[in-house]
Amino acid sequence: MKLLSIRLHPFGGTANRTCTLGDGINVLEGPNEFGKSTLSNALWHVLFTPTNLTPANLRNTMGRWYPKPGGDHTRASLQFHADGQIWTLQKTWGAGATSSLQAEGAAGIADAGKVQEQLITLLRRNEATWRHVLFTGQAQLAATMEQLRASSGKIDEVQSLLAGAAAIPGDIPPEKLTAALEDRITHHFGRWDIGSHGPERGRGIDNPWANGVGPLLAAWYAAERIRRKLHEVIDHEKAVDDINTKIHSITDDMGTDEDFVRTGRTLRDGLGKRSGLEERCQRLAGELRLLKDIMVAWPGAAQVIQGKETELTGVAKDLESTEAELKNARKRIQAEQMRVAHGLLAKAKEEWQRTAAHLAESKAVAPELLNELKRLEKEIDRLRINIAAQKLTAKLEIASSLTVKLQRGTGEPEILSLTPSEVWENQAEGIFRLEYQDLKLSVESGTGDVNALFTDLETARQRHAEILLTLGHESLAAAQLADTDHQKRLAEESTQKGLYRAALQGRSEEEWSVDMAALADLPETRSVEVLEGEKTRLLGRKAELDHDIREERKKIDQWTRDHLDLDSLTDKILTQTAEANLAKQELAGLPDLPEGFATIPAYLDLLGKKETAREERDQQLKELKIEQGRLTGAAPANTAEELRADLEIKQREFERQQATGQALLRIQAKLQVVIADRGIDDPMQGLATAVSSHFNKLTDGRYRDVTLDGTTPVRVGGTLALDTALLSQGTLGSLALATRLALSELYLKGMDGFFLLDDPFTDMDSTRRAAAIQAIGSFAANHQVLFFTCHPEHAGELQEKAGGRNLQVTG
Amino acid sequence: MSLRILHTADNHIGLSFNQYPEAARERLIDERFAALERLVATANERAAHFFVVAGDLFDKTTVTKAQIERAVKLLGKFEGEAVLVLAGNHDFCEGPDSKLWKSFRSSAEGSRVLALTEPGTKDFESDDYKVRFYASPCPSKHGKEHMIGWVAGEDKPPDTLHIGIAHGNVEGLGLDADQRYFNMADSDFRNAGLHTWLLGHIHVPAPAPGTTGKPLYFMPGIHTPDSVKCSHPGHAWWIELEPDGTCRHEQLTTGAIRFVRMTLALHHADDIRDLKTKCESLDAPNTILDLQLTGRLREEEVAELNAMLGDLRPRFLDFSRDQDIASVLDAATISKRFPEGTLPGTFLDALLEDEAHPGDANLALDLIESLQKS
Repeated sequence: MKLLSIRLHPFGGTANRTCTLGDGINVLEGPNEFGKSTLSNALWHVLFTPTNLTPANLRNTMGRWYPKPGGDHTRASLQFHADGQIWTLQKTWGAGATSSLQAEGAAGIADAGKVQEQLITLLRRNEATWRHVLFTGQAQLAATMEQLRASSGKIDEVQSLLAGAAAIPGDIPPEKLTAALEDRITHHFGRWDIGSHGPERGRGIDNPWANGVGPLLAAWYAAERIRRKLHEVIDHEKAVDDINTKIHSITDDMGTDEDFVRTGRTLRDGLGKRSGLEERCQRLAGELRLLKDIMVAWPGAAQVIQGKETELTGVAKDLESTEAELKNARKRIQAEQMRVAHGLLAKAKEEWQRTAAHLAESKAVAPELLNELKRLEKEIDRLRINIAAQKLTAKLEIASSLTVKLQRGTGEPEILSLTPSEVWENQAEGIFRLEYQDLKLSVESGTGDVNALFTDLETARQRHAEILLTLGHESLAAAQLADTDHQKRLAEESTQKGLYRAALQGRSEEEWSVDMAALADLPETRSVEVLEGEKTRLLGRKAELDHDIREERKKIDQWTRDHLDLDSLTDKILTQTAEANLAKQELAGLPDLPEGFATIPAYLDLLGKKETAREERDQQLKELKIEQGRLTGAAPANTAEELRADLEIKQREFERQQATGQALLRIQAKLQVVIADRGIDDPMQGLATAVSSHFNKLTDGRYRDVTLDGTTPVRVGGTLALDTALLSQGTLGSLALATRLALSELYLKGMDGFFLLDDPFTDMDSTRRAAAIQAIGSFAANHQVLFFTCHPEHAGELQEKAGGRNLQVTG
Repeated sequence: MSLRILHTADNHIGLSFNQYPEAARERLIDERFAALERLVATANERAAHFFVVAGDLFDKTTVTKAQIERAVKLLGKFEGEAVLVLAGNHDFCEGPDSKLWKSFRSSAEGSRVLALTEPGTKDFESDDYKVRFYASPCPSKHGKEHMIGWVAGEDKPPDTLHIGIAHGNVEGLGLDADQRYFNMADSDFRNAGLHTWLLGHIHVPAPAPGTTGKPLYFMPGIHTPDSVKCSHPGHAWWIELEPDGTCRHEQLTTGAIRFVRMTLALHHADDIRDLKTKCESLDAPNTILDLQLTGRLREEEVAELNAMLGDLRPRFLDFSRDQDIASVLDAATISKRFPEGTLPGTFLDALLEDEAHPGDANLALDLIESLQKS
C-alpha cells in the first residue's frame, strides 16, 4: 500500500485538511500542537478502526477525536495505491457512521465489516505488525532511549528495555514461553501425581501437603474434605437409623409381649388355682369312680370265688387224665423204637453167625513156620548170590565127537554132545564138573570154600521143602496168601460179633423177648404233641384260676380293711361326691386357659420366659437410648443435603481445575510442535543479518555483527565484541533504529507499504543522526516513509541528505 | 358441608443456609417461619378446619428449642380444629423419648397443635364433618419400607371421611433409586382404601395444577424455596372434601423468596442485553440469584458484562456468579496483537485450529500476557 493523500474532515482539532503524499521520505515538520499526532492517529484509525463500534467502545476509541465543543462525529478519507489500483477510503465515526471503500472504476463497499476485511487484505500485514513495527510513534523510540538512560547500570533492566525496543514487539523467545508454560504447569499440578491421578505419594486429606500445593490439588483437597464430612454425616445418619430401627423393633416386640405379659399377670393366680383344682377334681373323680366300682364289685366277689373254684376242680381232673394219656402215648413211642432195635438185633446175630461159619472154613498158618520159611528163602537167595559171584569160564575142544555129563555151579547136570568142529565155551558159578566115562573133572573157584556154600544151600533147600510140606502149600507165596485170607475171616467174625453185642444194649436175648411180648398190650392214645398242648392249657388255666381266686380274696380283705363294710362304703361315696361338686363349682369361677396352650404350666412357662425377655429388652433399650443420646449429641453441624450441595460446588471447581490442567498439557504439546516447525522455516531468518547491516552503517562500521536471542539483540561484534548490556546509550539507540529498519524491510519486502517515524532523532547527537538519516534515506529508496518532526533542522537534514520532501497540506 | 384443609409439608425449619452471607442467611432462615405464618393466616382467613403438616416441619431432629417454640407458637395461631404435624424423615420420631418431639409436645401443650409421631388414627367430628386421619409418621431418616401398610387393615366407618397423612417418596413422582425414603406406590394408596392421602417429602407439588376428580394423594411441595434446585415459588394445597370424598383443591403460592439460577452461554452483546433484561425482571430484593455464565465474548463485551453485573449485584438479596467466559480470540484478534511470524502469534493461531478446545488459546494468551507484563 502506498499512500496518496489523507483528508481529515473533521478529525480532532482539524476541521478540513488534506495532505498529499509521495514516494520516498514525506516530511511533516511543525511545532507541537501543529497536528502531527492528529494526522498520525487519523491515518491509523482510517486504516484500522471500524465504524460499527459499540457505543462504549466508540466513546473510548474515537470520542477524543470529535471536534470540540459539541462534535458528534469525526471523519477521515484516504486515497492510496494498492494491488495496481487507486483506492478511496472514507470513514465516519459517531453520528452518521459510515464506511466506504472503492477502487477506481469499480463498485464500492459500504459495509463496515467488509470494508475492514478488504483493508486488511490490501494492507498485507496484520494490525499488530503495523502497530508495533511500521508505526513507530513518537514515544516508542525516543522513550526507549530515555528509559535506557534512566536504567543505566542496571543490566537486567537494560536487557529488558532493550528487548522491548529491539525485538519484534510482542514476540517472546521460545525458551521463555516454554519455561513460563512449564512453570504454570508445575504450579498447577503442584503436589499432584498425574499418573495416579491423585496427590503425590498418596498424601490425602489425612496427611495433606502443606507446601507447593497447586490449584488442582487444592481443589481436590477441598472436595475430598467435604466428601469426608459427607460420608461422616451419612455414617452418622445410618448409625442413628440403625439405632432407631433397633429401638423400634424392641419397642414393637415389647408392645406385642406387653399384652401377653399384662394378661398373663392377671391370669397367673387364677390359672395357678385352676391348675390345683383341676388336679383335685380329677383325683376326686378317680377316687369316686373307684369307690363306685368297689360298691358294684364287693357283693359279687364270693360268688366269683366259688365259680372259679368249681372250674378249678374240673381243670385238675382234666389235667390228671391228660397226663395218664400222655404217659401211654410216650410208651407207645418207646415200643416202636424197641421194635426197630429188636429187628436190628436179629439181623446182627444172623450176620455174626454167618461170619463165624466162614471162619471155620479156613485153616490157620502157623506163624513160626511161615516166618522160618521167609527166613530160608532169604538165606537161599544169599547163598545163590555168593556162588554166582565166583564165576568160571570153561572152554572145551575135542578131537572126536563124544558125549559128556556137565554140571555148572548149583545147576542140574546136563549132557553135552561135543564135536571136533566146534568149540564149546560157557560159564559156571563157583564150580564146574565134567564126567566122561570114568573121568570126573571138577574145577572150583579159587576165592573161597565153594563146597561149603553148596552144602549150606542144599541144607536150606531141604528145610524149605519140609516146611512147605508141613504147611501143605507149594510155596511161600501160597502160604502167605492162605494166612492173609484166614486173618480177614477172623476180623469179620470179630466185627459182627461186636455189632451183635451192641444191639443187645446190655440186655440178654431173653429180656428182649419179654419186653417185646409186653408191647402188644399198650392202649391207643392221642399224639404226644396234642396231649402236651392240652396239658399246658390246663396248667395255665389252673394258674389263672388260682390267681383270680387269690386276688378276689385279697380284694375282699382289702375292702374290708379299707371300708369295713358296704354301708361304710356308701357313706364314703356320698361324701366324695359332694366334695367333687364343690371343686367343680370353684373351678367354674376361675379363668380359662388361653387358646393355643395345651396346659396351664406350658402357658405359665411361656409367661415367665416373656417376662424375662421383657426385662432383657428393657436393659437393651436403656443401652440403646444411651447410644442414641450419644449420637444425637454428636450430630454433625451440617446435614447430608447441605454437604451434597457444597460438594457439588467443590467438585465442579475440581473438574474445572482438571480441565485447565489438561488444557495446559495440550498447550504445552502444541507449543513444542510450533517451536519445532519454526526451527525448520523461521520467518525471521535474515533478521540478524539485516539488523547487523543497519547497525554497521549507523555506527560507521564500529559494529558488524548482531547476535539475536529470539528476536532480541544480545551481543554485538566488530572492533569490540560486547554484550548489548555493555553498550553505551547512544549505541543502544542506534541498535534500536537498526532493528526497526530491519524489521520494516522484512515486513515490507516485495510489497508497497509505508514506514512512519514520529520524531525519532530527538535525542541523537549530530553524528548518529547523520548516520540515521542516511539509513532512512536508503530505506526510503524502496519504501514510502512518513517522517514527522518538530525539529526544523531534522526536517532540513532529511531534505538535504536523504531527498525528503515536505508534505503538501491544503485546507 | 365440606371439610376444609390447608396442607403443607417440607417446611424444613432449621436449615442453616451457611453458604450465604449473614444478611441473606438471616432472611432465608426467617422466611421458613414467615412463609409458614402466612399459611396459617391464609388458613384462618379461609376458615380451614385442619392445618396439616405432612412431615419435615423441621429440617433435622437437632433443631434448637427456640426454633421449635417459634414454630409451635405460630402454628398455634391456627383457629380451626387442629394443627396436625406429622414426623417426617428429616424430623423423624425415633420413639417416645424423642428429644425433638418431647420438646414439641411440651411447647404445644394446651394448644391445637398435635404431633403425629406414632402410627394411628385421629378422629374428629363436628356438625360439619366427621373425619378420621390415619397418621403414618417416619421413625427414622431412611426406611426401605413405607409406613402406611397398617392402614389397609383398619376399620373404616362408612359415614366418615378417611384421610391418610404420610411422608416419603412416591414412585413415579420422585426419584428414590435406592428405595431409601419410605417409598410408596399408587397401589399402596389404593390398597389402604382411604378417600385421599396428604403427603410430604417431594419438594415438587402434585397433582399437576388443573387436575380434577378425586386425587389419590396430594403433595404440596416445599412451602418456600430453599435452594436453586427449587424452581417453583413455594406452594401448599387448599383442599375441600365433601362427605362423599368429592374433592376441590387449589394450589396456593406461599413463598416470598426465589432462588434463581441462570445458566447461560454468552456469545455476543445481545446476550448480555438479554441477561440484563432477565435480571431486571426479577424481584431482586427477594431473589437469591446464581449466575452460571459460560461462552466467549469480545474484550469490550466482557467489560460491559462485568459493569452490568456490578450494577446489578447490590440489588439482589444475594448474588453469586460462576463465570467461565473467555475473550473471543480469533485470527483477526491475534493478528491485531501479535506481528506475523512472532511465536505468540503462530502459537495462538495453531491453538485456534483445535476447535474442540477453543479455550486453550485463551489460556495460552493469558500466559503470554502475564509474561509480557512481567
